[in-house]
Amino acid sequence: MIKRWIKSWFAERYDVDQIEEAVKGQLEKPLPKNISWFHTLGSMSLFLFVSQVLTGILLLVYYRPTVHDAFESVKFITTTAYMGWLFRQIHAWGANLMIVVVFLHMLRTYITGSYKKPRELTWVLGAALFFITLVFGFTGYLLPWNQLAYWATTVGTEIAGAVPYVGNFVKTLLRGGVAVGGETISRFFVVHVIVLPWVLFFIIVVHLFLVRYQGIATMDPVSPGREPKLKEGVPFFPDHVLKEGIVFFILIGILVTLSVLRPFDLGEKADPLQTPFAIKPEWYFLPMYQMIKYFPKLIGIFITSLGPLLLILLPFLDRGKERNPLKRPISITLGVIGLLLLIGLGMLGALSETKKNFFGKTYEFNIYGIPHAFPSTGETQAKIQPPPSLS
Amino acid sequence: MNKNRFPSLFQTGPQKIFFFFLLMQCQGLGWAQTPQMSENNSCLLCHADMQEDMKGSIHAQQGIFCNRCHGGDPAQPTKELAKAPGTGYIGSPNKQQIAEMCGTCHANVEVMNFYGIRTDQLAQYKTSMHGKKLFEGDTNVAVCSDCHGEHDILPVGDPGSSVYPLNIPKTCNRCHGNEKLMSQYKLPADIFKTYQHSVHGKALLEEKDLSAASCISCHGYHGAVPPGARDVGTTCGKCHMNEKKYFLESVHAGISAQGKFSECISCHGNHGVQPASKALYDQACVRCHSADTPEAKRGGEIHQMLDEAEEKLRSATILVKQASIEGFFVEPEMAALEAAKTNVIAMAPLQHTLLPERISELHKKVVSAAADIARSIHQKQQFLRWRKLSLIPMWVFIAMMISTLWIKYRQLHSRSREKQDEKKKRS
Amino acid sequence: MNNIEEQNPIGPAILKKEMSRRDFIDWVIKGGILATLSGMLLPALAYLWPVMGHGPKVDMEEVAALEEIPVGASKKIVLAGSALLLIRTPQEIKAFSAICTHLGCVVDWDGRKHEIVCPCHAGVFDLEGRVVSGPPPRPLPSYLVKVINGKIYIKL
Repeated sequence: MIKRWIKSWFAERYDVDQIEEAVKGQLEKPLPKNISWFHTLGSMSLFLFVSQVLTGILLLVYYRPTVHDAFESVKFITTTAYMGWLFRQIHAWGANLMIVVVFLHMLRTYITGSYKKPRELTWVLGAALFFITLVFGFTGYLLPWNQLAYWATTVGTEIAGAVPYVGNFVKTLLRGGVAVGGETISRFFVVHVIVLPWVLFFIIVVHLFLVRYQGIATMDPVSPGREPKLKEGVPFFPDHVLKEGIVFFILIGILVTLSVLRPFDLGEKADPLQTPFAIKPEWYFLPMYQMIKYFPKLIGIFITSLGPLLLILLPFLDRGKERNPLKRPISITLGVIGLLLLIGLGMLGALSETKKNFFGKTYEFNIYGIPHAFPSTGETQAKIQPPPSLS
Repeated sequence: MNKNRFPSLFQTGPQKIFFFFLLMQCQGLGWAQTPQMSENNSCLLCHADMQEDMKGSIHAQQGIFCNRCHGGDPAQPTKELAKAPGTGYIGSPNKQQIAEMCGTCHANVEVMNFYGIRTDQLAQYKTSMHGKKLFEGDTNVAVCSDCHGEHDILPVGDPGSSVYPLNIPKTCNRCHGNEKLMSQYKLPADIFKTYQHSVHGKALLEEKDLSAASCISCHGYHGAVPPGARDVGTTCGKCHMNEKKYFLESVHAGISAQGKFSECISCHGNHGVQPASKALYDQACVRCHSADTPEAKRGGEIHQMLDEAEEKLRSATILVKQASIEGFFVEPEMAALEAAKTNVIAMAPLQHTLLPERISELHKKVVSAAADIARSIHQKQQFLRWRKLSLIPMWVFIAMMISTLWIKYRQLHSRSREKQDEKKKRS
Repeated sequence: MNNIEEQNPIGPAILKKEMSRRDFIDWVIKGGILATLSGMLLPALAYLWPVMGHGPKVDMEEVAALEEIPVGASKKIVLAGSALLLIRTPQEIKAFSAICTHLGCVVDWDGRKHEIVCPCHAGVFDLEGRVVSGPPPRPLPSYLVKVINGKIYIKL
């Protein structure tokens, strides 16, 4: 009864049939045969973004972005508000997982060659989304205003300060002053909850529109003219959606499990007068952070900024026609080398300035990640060797 | 606080002393110093070497010149005229003269009133062992200048002064560490060494804790006398008030009055007093009470209560610390811990009553507080365990959803294959 | 899901039994989605429900009502994991850290002597928190107090 009434209410006012047709067309849009489980990663990125927005809104209910209150309010959320701990942990883990998932999504696109003509713009936007996700992580990390966050941000903005000519200007702009403080938290907050979400949202809209408009890439080589329209294939709904549902449930399970079993510690409130030992940025900045250490300031920054540039320009640099990874040995080799470099640098970064036990022996890693047997002699400090991976 | 340790010196309160320094400095600056000083003071024409000594001294800064102690007339231009008979020139004063000389000002209320310094030092000195011996003709004993210095006397609050609290033990030791000198009086000469390793000595000399007891805290200074056996409690009680108060409730207080028991010293010792330890129950009681007497057992009982309370506090502290590392919110427990800690610390003076009933009151409080803390921490841990356990039904649900979705997917897949087969057939 | 059924008309060969099985699975999926959504929504609603009369700590924290403390008396409160001592003088309310600066015992207000006393080593503080006697090396830290509408607020 009510259903019919609602239907007629709309039918009298809108061309319901046309809308239904359009929605149906989108829902049942055929996807190419080669669509795999890895093709769900894009939707998972979107899901994580939505999850971040929702949990972020919930956190905003109690969060206050001032030097005085930030730490206390996050503490309040995790200890006092009902289920607050869950939302903070899901937001924190969601941020980390989002970076992983977006990265894997890019990797899938790289391997299947989907960035090639005619989808260059989709890739460029996707790369921008990845960097915005990283900036999200960077700005969000400061907001709890704990020691780790404070010092990681201090180091992070310091790196920006090393850029020639504009460095100091950028650093001051980022910090909103000479040092990280109340002004920093305000502007990071604004960027994190107002600017970036909307920027990300609109880029996602365009990215998704392009994906839907051009369809999913097949594994066929790039065709000379415009790509022929796909007529036959797996319908998006329900077939592919079911797959996405399965991955979605696994992802949500992982998210909640990590939040419960490996919660992020709030730590101590930021204290500008006490520098903790061996401050490091978040894991996703470690490769870049480690890279900068090996080169003189300017060259280091130049080299590290090459990475993103190459990534954005990839579809214009790689003009090969083949999509099948087995027929693109050079691209794939370069991709593997890049990946190994990232992982290697990340691990070196994680190990540097720590002490670890291997085979019953204690090793001390200096800032370059070079192990020295511990207790080390004085000479270890004196001589700086380049790391084996780069020499 | 300082007032208690050095009653007479600091009687005036810190503000006045500060004012005193301020005044002193203003005057010091106001003076064109040396030139004028030597103009008015012809002594320095010959004794120029004294000028350096004198310069920093409180007396020079107050315009008190050589003649006030040595006699003579500094207004005269030549040596002969300045030391002429009639000017009262005495040269170096002897020890008795020194005491009296200082007293002419320092025992004069009219003079000292302005500075806010008390005037009973000479009177006190005369009652001291030093003073008594001096006026009996013994010149080995300490007189004002032996402790305070001569030309370079600094105010007591100046860290460079030989009578600054930190420097007192060394100053006394100048004579009391001299074996030859002390043997004449049948006094030990190793007290400084003993003191150095005592809890007071370490606090004063190593930690620079000005409130720690030095020689003068117990023996007095201007009126220095060894406290008699009956005065020990009063002496220690100046700082250890609660201990003293509770001690007076104990059975030992009575026999102390009869002189059979030397209050604090009997258990803790004197110059070499070590940080109070519960081990004293095992060491000190048996000196008088054999191990199987009820008295010794009572000591054991108290000892056990103290041990238990400390142990409970310790384990509760560890529990709370561990919980906070694990990410629990432990602020209420930390507050409870503070209260428990107060009770444990309060047990220390209270144990001097040697009354198990009294001590067990605090003991019970500590035990129950520790139990409360443990309970609430365990509750929180329980909640976390519950949190973790709830992951199991969640994953069961997820597994169910995944398998259902998968079945659905297979169904659709097989159907679309059928459709394709159909199409092929048709074509 | 209904229009899928319509869209993929089932061939006559398929048995009724399989029909019901398919229906069952559809129901499970629908129920599962509903359960997932409510599982997300309910904690969010619980989270939004205010925990206490007032929110998390602001500049000034309400700690007690004025009528709880008679003139000349005191009250101990726990704030941010530490004890505070409130003392009501005829003129105003004073707030001190109740942690003795000597060894960290919790101090008490002695209304008869008008002193703050530490039970452990007989440290005595005056009404300004200054050390009057005993071993404490520093005065007691004091806190800003405001009394508004009979409620006592403290700034930590």
